[in-house]
Amino acid sequence: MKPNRRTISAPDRRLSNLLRLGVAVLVIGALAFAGIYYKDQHVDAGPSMVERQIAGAEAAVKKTPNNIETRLQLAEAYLQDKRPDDALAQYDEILKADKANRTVLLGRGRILIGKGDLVAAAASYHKVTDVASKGEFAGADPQAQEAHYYLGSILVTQGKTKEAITELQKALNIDPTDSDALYLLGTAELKQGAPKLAVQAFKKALLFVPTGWCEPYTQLGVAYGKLNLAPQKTYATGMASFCLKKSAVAKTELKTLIKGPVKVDALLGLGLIAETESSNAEAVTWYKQVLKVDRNNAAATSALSRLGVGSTPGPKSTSTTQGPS
Amino acid sequence: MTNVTNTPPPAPETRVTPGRSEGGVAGAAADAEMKNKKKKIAALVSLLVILALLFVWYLLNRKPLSELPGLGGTAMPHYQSSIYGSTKPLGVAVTASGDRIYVTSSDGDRLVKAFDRAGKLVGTLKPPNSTSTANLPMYVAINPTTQDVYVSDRQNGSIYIYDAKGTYLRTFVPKGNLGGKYAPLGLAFAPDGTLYVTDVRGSDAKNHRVLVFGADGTLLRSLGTPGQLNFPNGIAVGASGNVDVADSNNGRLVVFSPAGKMIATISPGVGEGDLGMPRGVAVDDSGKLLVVDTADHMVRIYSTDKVKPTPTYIGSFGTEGQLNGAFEYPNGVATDKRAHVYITDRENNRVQVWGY
Repeated sequence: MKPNRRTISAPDRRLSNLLRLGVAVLVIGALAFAGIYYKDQHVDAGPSMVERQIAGAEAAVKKTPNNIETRLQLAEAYLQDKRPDDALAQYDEILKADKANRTVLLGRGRILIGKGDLVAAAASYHKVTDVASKGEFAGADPQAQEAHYYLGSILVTQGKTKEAITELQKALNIDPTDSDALYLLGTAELKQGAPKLAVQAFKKALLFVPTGWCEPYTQLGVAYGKLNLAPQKTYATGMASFCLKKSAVAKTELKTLIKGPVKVDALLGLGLIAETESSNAEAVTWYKQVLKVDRNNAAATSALSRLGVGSTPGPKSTSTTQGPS
Repeated sequence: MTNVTNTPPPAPETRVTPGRSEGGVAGAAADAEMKNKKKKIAALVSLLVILALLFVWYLLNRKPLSELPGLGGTAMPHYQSSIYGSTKPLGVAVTASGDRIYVTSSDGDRLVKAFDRAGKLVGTLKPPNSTSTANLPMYVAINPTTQDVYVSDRQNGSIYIYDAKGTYLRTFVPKGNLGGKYAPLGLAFAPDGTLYVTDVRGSDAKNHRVLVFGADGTLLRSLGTPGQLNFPNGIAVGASGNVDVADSNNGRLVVFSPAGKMIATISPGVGEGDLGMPRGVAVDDSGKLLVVDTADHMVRIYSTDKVKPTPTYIGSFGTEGQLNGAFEYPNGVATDKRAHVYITDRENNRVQVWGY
């Protein structure tokens, strides 16, 4: 039952007023605090570097619309801003003036692959290889290398593995250290039914990028499986586990191999795992074991040198107390 | 005649008088209502006190609320904004309030630029007229006792001193025997004004060291035995007095005790928290150690404490690139007391501001 309004006592009224006042102070205080906080914390980030580059390049293109260099810069800026269609429009403008501009043809190819238009992309890359093959430095032309690589990639996607292998080998003739081309070649060889060649390609690819790249290890495992080489397959799957950050599984698998036919690879793998776990002393131990088996092993030697251990290695811990200065 | 009706006298009042009965219930209700109001007022007062405390904490610290004590232990900063206007910036220093940011340009005009919090250029720190045109400002630090700005010029073997407004005051003159000329690179101050300088004189790394000067410029000691440091770069002094030095070409960070003993390292390598090529170093007001790994295009964060000399890895931020939050060979790092991190993004010609 609510008390009659007329019966509300004076102290009660005061409390009600105090309550209203308190709520008002709280609301106003909170709002004021929020306003001050925002004003004090907020800094206008302004246009990003890419937006600045676009603005500058657009102004330059407006000023000199026939300058190929400024249009290339604009296209590059659009690409960085993830605006492939605008970049493509700039490339097309350049091609009207310079049909054989290889930078543009390569750029177009990449955009068209991204859009899924593989036929048009391949046409763009073929124009590059046609022009490059006549050049004086065709055998060392990085743009031709890129075109051959992407042609190989397109052909693998289209299931034309035989033609893909030809293109990838052309790319590798120009740059034998291209790990992407080596991996793709391995994939194509595997599809082509040549697991031995695939193993060679994957192993070469992993020589250049031994960590943080899982697919070659997985595919290497598949290739070894097709060759019925069980220890080798275990090594590859172990390294794939390591790559997928399952180090404990990887170590268990690799430790089963340190007396078998792939002991050097397994020991190197264990060293690499220890390194990524910052257990440098353990890594040194594994690498030294590699040198006991194969004293000229380049990977172990370079790893020991990386860990600050020379030809007469001694363990070095990750974070240790050292002697006085 | 009086017509007297023979009606019985009214029975004594047994029925509850409306006034009295309602008054009793209403009184209890009013009491309950008042108690309720008192509770509400108490809650309100508590809220007002919390708000007031929050406000006072904020005015004293001016940090994001996410940095309230107990909240921001292992939080990683996020990208906030960039300051443009310097060319190939290397070193950066910032006032405690974050209102002045000093940046060295290692290319272009090769001067030190002063920016306000909004990234507006507010001044230029020029070397003295006597300096050769081949000046190359590298690192910059603010003396906490005078607020003067110190700029190292490795090429000229000098440290220039400016006031907070950027007016050239003098060139630092070391007192004591340095054993020849020095080539100052990294600069850091202890709270008492002791100056730490990484010295990369000569092409032979065996001469590389850290020089420690008192507030009056007297050489107090040198850190690092011959050959121990190889191009020591950025340097910072932690709250415990430990000195963190980016031993750049050895790919590691070296921690010296206040007495000058090498007590810990963060090693080079590919593991979590391992370093590639450390350059800038800073310790923020919460004791977190920040190391710029220029080759990996990121900043690594470690926690430090007085008991354990080896910093503990917390995490990294940044990646290679040109977008906001990406770096191209970052170099210097500085922190203000408002939970901001400033990193020179050398090849992107900007200073990135990250916050919590």
